[in-house]
Amino acid sequence: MCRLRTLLVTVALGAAALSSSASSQEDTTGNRPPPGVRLGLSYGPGVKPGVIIFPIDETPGDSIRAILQRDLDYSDRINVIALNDSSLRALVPASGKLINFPLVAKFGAALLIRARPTATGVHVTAYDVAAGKVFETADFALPARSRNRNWRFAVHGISDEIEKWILGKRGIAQSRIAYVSGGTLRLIDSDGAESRAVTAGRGALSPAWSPTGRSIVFSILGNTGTQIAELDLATGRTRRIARTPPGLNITPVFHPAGSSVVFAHGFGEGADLVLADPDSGGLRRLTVGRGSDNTSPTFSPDGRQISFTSGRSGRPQVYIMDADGTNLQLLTEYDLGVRSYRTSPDWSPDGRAIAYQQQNGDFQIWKVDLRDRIPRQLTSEGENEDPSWAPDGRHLVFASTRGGTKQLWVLDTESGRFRQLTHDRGARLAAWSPMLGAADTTRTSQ
Amino acid sequence: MNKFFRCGSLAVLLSGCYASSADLLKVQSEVSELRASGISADSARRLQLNDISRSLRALTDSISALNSRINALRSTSETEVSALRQDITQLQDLGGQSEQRLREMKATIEETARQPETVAEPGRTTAAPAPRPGPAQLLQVGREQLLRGSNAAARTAFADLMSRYPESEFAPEALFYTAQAFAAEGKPAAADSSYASLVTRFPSSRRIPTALYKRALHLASAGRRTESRRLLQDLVRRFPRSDEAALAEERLQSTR
Repeated sequence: MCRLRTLLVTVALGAAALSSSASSQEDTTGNRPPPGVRLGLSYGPGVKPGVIIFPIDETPGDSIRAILQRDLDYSDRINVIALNDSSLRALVPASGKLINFPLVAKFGAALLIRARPTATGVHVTAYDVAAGKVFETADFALPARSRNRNWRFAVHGISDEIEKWILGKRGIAQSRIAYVSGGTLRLIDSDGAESRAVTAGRGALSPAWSPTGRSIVFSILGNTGTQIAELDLATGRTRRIARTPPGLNITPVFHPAGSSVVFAHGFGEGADLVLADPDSGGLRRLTVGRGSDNTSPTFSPDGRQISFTSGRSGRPQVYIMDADGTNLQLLTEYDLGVRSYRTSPDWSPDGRAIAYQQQNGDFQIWKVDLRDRIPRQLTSEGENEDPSWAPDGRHLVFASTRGGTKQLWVLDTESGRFRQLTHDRGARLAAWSPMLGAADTTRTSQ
Repeated sequence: MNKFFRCGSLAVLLSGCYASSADLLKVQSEVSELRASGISADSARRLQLNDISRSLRALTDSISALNSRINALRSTSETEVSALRQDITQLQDLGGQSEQRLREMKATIEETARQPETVAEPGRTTAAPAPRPGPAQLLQVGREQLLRGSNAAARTAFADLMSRYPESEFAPEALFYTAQAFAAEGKPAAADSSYASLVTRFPSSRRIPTALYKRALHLASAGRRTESRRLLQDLVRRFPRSDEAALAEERLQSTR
């Protein structure tokens, strides 16, 4: 963050100086930017730093550039400045000549990214436009087979690293979203590419990632009711969570330490949350529903609390309790006289907020900040259900009918920007993974 | 003699044959009468049996009607009890919310009350020394720190509350949250000590079932199973309707 502040201050000062010098240059040198592009600079709190990614000549340069641009754009923290090729050529002349930093600055860019494919991957250089010098440079390894799933995923890692250079915090491009479509469990990359089924049969429900991102726990409809199963993503093998009793077993979730799984188990009338204890191999009840339904658990990041849906007071509401089942509190206030209910909570990875769906006519996504406990509505168009936080605690994925059919959409909770993630009919029950890996980097700081 | 005996026997036989044909008709009519009366008796008995059967059916129907009425009544009362229970839960939840709101309001009032008064004196303006924050305000500050993860700062606020206002209604809460702060810091022994202090100093606090259960879990994890069981039994005995008692009962059964 310190680095970002330094960069932005430098850029701001540089920009102020440049705006006067560049305008005078325009007059004297005729170094005008090509027509049809925007001009002007503005720096201040909350302003997204502008980045220009220069075209990459060698194969598969176009793919790398497209992925990087899209990832940085989807981060919603960086302003990717799209220029046509002739404009870009004017900014970066032929090899051996200097980059025209004053002109780059006039397009609002704080950083210029140049990448060059190498024998083992890609070499990336970031230029500090205001300072007119190299800011960071690094070599990233990429899988040999071009443009397959793993190769794309490795390029996402480069995007995240560039974001870290600029903002001091890794991006979330190198993450995936698990979801259910037609009873099959599927995965999709954070940019909406590489959608694929990871289970063969039907009847899969409510997926949740392990803290390491190596496996997914989900419930599956079997002969003896619903069972809790774990899918190992490396081997593709599915195993049943030990001693899941017959009957209703739904909405599993891993403890943040990965040591146990909590899910809702039907006890004759109603369902209670139970902890599948790896030590005893048995189940331990966590909620005392007394005939009501207690489902959809979600852990606080420190694993000390659980938020869940309970119908103990009649209509489903979101509650918080300590992980041992004590200290139960209602998360959201009842609206007296309003017959709404709230379900499917998801605790943000930074621990600050809980997102949930609220039914009051139709379903909408809401979030409540745990400090002030004031609920805020995030969606209003179509039906919006089952929110799941991205690892940055800023983006949410959810199922929505806003596009006509039920699809997964991503919302940036800070800017309010929506983007469609899936395009296969009936996608629902999304779960955003934790960060799935760091880019294989050899970094050279300047 | 023999001849006479033979003739006598023949005479008897002949006279017998002659008498039985008349009697036979008589017997036949008697048998017919008897049969008729039997049939009529059977018919009457059948009627009686039918009556009894009808009565039994009516009785069974009445019993089953009564039964279904009882079931309906039971179901209604169960629904009503369940609705009542839900209402109670809702009221408890609302009570918790109101309590929270009240605490916040008290904190706001205390904050307003402690605003330094400006005393105008000729030639200079001096501010009166700021009054100390009130108990509700200290609790509020501590809870906010706890939510932020500033556990040590939260404990300081709670300790301040307990030392300045030991008789305050918020003192048990401060002690409870002190234990929570210790637990969040990964200091289970200190948390247990605070819970124990809460149980001893404020035995009527609503936090006691939670404190007892948490203490029992801590003791069990420390291998002190007998003491843990004793606490769980105490919890079940003293607060049988609490959620913690239900959890404690299951733990007691599983560790029997």
